[in-house]
Amino acid sequence: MLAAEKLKPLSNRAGLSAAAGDEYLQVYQRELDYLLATLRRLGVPSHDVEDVVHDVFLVMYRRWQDYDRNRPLRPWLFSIAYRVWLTHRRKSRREIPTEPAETHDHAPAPDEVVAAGQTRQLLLRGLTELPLERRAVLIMHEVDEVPMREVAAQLGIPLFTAYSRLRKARLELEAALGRLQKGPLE
Amino acid sequence: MTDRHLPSLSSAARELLADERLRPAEDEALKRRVLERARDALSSDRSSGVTPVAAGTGLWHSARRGRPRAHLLAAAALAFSGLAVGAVGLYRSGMLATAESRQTRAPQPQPIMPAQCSPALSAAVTSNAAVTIAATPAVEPSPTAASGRQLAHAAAVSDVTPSTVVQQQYAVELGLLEPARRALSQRDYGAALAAVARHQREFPQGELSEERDALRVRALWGAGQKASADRAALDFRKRYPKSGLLSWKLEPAPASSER
Repeated sequence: MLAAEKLKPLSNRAGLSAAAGDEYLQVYQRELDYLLATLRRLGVPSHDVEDVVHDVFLVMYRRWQDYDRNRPLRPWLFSIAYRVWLTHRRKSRREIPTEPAETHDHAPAPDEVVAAGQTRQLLLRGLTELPLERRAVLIMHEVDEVPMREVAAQLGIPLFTAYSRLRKARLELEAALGRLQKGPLE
Repeated sequence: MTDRHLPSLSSAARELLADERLRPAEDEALKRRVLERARDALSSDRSSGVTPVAAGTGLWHSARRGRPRAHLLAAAALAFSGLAVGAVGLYRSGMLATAESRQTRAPQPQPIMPAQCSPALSAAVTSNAAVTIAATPAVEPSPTAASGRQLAHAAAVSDVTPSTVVQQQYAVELGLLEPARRALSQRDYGAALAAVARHQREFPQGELSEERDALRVRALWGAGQKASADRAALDFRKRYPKSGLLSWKLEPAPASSER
């Protein structure tokens, strides 16, 4: 499993040349916004984001030579971020599917969120009500616009399972958004 | 199943998701901290002295730090001495082919199966390589450095025979793949993939390509990259239809449905 290697030290693991290491760092820097946004969508709390994204960096570094340059980068990044966060949750024994992304007491109430026009917060809160495995499929396909075949390949699941998860995730997201807005969206 | 068979999202939900695609940039202070941490990790990795340098030069030819490399060279010399002693012992006991036939016959690749590799390593290295190494210490190969080009060059500038070069290449290839096998047995799949990639770079059409490709499938499978492992296994079966390796994975993983 990817996560099994994530906490080991970097040394003598990736075998990257200096040039490849520089290239890797540039890619990481370029995609950092995407990675941070992805982790937030996956429900990583703010206080964990920095540590989790660093773990993603370590895993990416070790696997950089295995990345197939003929395939799109972001689905590959997403799959790493997803697995790292999955393992992080398991290790910290916080496997609660409905745990909100932000657990601060001063987080705005759902109606306040809507009233303030903070649509992004509304969506993030809605996403946190989905189990992580379905949330990942939904984010990849609906937000990142990754074809379902690629979603299935990157997450290592059969295509039919990916569609099944997407179907349930759509229904659950609609229901969650409806609850958060205290009424149907339309 | 396609998108048409799925419940469609409401327009409001679609709008939220579309907004999310145009997300605002992340906090600059956070990004600075994250990048600084990444650079620190990278620079400490580079200064550790054991990370391979430019591609193709290999760990053992690095000229930046002498001490760790000297240790590695000593370890390699010991390992190959052990191989040579084992092979000579087997040779004397009559288990190996005659010296005449070795001169004219290139070694046949042997499958490196985890269960049989270590104890019989010296025998499976197929004898010829080890015996030749013992006979020609001046051109002692190192497991990770000597590439096919270097070996060809050695043949051109010295009086070693082509068969000697083939035998040395075989030993070097085995030395490259042994860490992969060991990493697999320790469930260190990242290291196994890295070792396999190193062999791929040095010997894309090597004698042990079949074993390398089988190790790659096992490492990918172990690392959880089931789709990649399936693809690699399919390629493997196409390339080596009669191979006895990968018999544990003749069929793709069963599809699990959530329903």
